[in-house]
Amino acid sequence: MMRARVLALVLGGTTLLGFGLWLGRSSSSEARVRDTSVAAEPVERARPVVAAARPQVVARPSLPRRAPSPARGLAADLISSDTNIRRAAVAEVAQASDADPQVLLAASKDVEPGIAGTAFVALGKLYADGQVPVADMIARATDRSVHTRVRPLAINALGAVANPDAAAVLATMVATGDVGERRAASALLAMQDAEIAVPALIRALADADEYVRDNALNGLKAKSRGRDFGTDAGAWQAWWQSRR
Amino acid sequence: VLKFTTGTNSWGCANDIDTNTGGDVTDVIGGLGLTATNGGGPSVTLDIGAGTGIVVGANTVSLDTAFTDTRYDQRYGPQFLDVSGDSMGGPLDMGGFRVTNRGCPPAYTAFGAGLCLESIDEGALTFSQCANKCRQEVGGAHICTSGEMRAAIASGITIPNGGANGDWVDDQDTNTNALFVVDQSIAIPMSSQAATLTTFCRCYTDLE
Repeated sequence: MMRARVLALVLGGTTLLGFGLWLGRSSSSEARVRDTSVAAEPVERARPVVAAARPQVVARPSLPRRAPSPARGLAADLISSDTNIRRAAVAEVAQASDADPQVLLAASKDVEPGIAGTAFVALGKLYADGQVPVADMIARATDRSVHTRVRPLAINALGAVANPDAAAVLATMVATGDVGERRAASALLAMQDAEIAVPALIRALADADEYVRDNALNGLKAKSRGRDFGTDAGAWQAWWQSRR
Repeated sequence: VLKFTTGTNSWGCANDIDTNTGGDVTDVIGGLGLTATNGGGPSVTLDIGAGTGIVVGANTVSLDTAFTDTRYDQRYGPQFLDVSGDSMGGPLDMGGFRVTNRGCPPAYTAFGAGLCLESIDEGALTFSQCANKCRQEVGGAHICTSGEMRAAIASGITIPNGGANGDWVDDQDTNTNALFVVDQSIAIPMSSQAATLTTFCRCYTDLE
């Protein structure tokens, strides 16, 4: 009997103690909110509303993360004989945040220009992020068997990122390529290192194609911070020599 | 006078009878534009006076086109057109009426009644070069807008020279990037790249 009373007293005391602690914590929370609002008021009048709402945001349970859906059958669809299936599969890879460069390199050889184009656009982004070796991009950009309507994308993907090897390829292309290659290369050299680009662009001022000459002049203006010697290759050469 | 009588089937003397009920015309005079010859008869000839630009033949009166073709053209008035391919030198006031049944310019393909796309696109131009090229097209043209390009693709009519893939589109998604067609076979056929890069250029003009 005595033990039962003692036990009841202990339980009662514990309950009271717990209630007291809870009460104290609640009041101190409110006090913190009040303190924050008072401190923030001189700086920003709207702050109290945000501060008062903050505990609710913290208390809200976080949403469960959506698990990525598995790409079931994607590998098979990438090599499907059905163009539409292949097209959708490559587009899916191209849009993925963790796109596989090897898959896109393979897709860039697709006989269907739209599919190859999609692959090249995605490859260009991966290459800019350093996920594709420059050698692979050079191989695709210089491959004349790539579909005519996709070839500019291959060259652009290579040349839009400054790289000495890419610049050397573009310098050769602007000197010896067909008109489409020369136009593309002359536009892209403006994005490459001046040591390789400027001499190539000066030579391109004498190109037979007006658009190559136009690109070369624009590139030289950009590289020279706005100088304009027109198509006077000698004047450009003199300027370039003076910069060394 | 001697007359033949049908009832008796014989010749005999009879009074002369004047059966001419008129006979007031005594002379023919050529009026305006006409010239009379031998107006007093018995045979009268009327000739039409062939004024400037008129040719009078044996049985015809016609325009002298050798005169009118050189007269009513732009040397005498900017409103005159004389041959195919001629061009006007003055404003044309349609008075509120429409010009209908117009055709696409040469080297353009019609996509319905009012949409014309350049049949052979130019390779490897920057966005600015493409815009300027289209501006200089005969009659003036422009790069396809996104809507115009989508309409051409959706028409089902084959876009010549390998389709629209790679063609610039006259819209920019950033200050530096312009749209182009990546794959015309999908719902979102376009992507963007730096406007200073090169790709195909196909001009557009409408007949709305």
